Amino acid sequence: MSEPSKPSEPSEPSEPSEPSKSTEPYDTVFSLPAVDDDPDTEIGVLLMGFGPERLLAGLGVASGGPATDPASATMYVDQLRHDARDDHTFAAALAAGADRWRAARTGFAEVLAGPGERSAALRQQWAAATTAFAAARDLAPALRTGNDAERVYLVACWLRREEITRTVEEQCPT
Amino acid sequence: MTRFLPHPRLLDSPRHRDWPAFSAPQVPDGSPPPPTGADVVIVGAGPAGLAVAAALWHVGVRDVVIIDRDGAPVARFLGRVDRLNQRVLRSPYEHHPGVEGYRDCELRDFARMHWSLLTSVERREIRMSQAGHRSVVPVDVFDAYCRHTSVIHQVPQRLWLGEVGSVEPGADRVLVRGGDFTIEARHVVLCLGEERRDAPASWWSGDRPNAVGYWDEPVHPDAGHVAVVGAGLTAAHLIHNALDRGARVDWVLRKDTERYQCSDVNASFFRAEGRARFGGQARQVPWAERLALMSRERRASVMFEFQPLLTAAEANGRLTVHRGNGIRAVGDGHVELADGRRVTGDQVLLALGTTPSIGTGLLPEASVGARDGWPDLDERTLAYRHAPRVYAAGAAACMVLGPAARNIDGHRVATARIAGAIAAQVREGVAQRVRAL
Repeated sequence: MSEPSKPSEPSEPSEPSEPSKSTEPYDTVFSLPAVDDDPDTEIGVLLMGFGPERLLAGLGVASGGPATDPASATMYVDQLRHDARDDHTFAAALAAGADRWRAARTGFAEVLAGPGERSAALRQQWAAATTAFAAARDLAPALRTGNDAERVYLVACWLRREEITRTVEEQCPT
Repeated sequence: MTRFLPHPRLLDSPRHRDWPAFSAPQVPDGSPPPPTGADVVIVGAGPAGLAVAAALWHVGVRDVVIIDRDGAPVARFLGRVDRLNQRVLRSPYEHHPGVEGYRDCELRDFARMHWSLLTSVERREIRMSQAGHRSVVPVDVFDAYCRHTSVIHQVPQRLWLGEVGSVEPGADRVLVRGGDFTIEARHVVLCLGEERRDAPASWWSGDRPNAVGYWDEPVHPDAGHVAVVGAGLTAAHLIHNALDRGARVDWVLRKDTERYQCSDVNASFFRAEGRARFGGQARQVPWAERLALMSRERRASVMFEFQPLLTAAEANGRLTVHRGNGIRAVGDGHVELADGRRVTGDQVLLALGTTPSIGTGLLPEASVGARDGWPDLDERTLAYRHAPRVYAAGAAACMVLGPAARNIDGHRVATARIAGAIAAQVREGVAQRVRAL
């Protein structure tokens, strides 16, 4: 086996020169994420940054019925977080989400026991989790979902399963 | 290096697309009169009023009444935008009436949530914004975001249709009077926006000539040839709309040349260092210096995306631009330039900008303390110095916050100061009442 090549020493900054005529077919300074991925990926990446209570409440709203697409479920949870509704509370949504998670956790344990594919790239992580979930849903009745919002929120919760389970146990004990 | 190339397609966002009507809380039917008392009355529910209402909600001030002449949040703003057929706002995604620091959904995340509804051009604008570049915001996205912000902060439940006729400051209360209501408020926030700037009196005598209209009035659909007077974005929209329907356009620019800019103010004025040029805790800036800065830094300009369209139209003769010429008079379907030439059209459209409403006509003159068209405001709180329970947000705060005060982002800066000041006083008032018990 040959020695790995040494990284080149940093050189002194030199006078600015004309930019080289790159043969790269794309701009290597930065490239932006695609704009034509599945729209769920954009939402999924956002949900990956939410706190566990907000995810559970979204799951509760999605599985309970008032919102059936992930964006509407998220906006609905925003209303609940601001006490903007007389007919529904954040605590009730959280409790409904906890119930749904307890049921789903059993299904996940049956068919998705391992750590799953891990990626530092959020979009890849989301896409891998979505694919795994789609396969698992056919095998475990507890993972069957009634609408897109429930599916997307279940995937988001599964990606954060330890935090989600801890929150359920602490805030919504049976 | 990634270079931003403005493209006219950015101007073509769809409007009134089928946005999901997420379940909104029920608001009682009918229009009962507003309450007779409140901790805070907000006059005007435009972007500034909405920002103030949201911020007050977050600092715990919930006894709020909002009076708006259209009876709906951001209605006049969107009405003007739609009148011009404007499809994107040139304020970037970072500028919105939501509240920072409370983990509320911000405008860009709101747009990303609704990714499936956006065109690929709109999605790319979001990516540009994420990468720290300048972006434009579809009016549809802004409209839906304002509805969401309004609903979560319970604005519809606190909003009444009405025209405020007077605001009468007292020692410990302010009376807000309208046609059929009087509200006794502890604090009042004036979010009055801006009014259309009318033509100078010297342009015509007596009634406005026939076939002369302003930008916020209907344009004659059969006008095959229009003359547009103005140098800003509104003029550009009028020209674009006329060219779009096949009309020929004469553009009268009193300046030597048109200016194409991302924004109508330098970007530094959206940041603390720009605002500091108008003063702050560190130093007092003389009034004359601020006035000079305002006149220098606030200039009409057109967003970059129009440049290819207008340049091409001028090259092919459908657009004639009259640069650097004053206006002597305006008559029936014509404009007389200072050099004696006469520009004619089936309709003359005037887009001469707007004038900030500073409280004159509502507050006593002594309370406004107007100087050179600007109110006398306390720099720390944006309260009127001679009516300390009355505050001004929006364009009226330009001499304190700089020219960006009239932009959507400026509203948030004003709002943070106003909400903080009001919350402190409301808390102190509660504490005093408790002590008195």
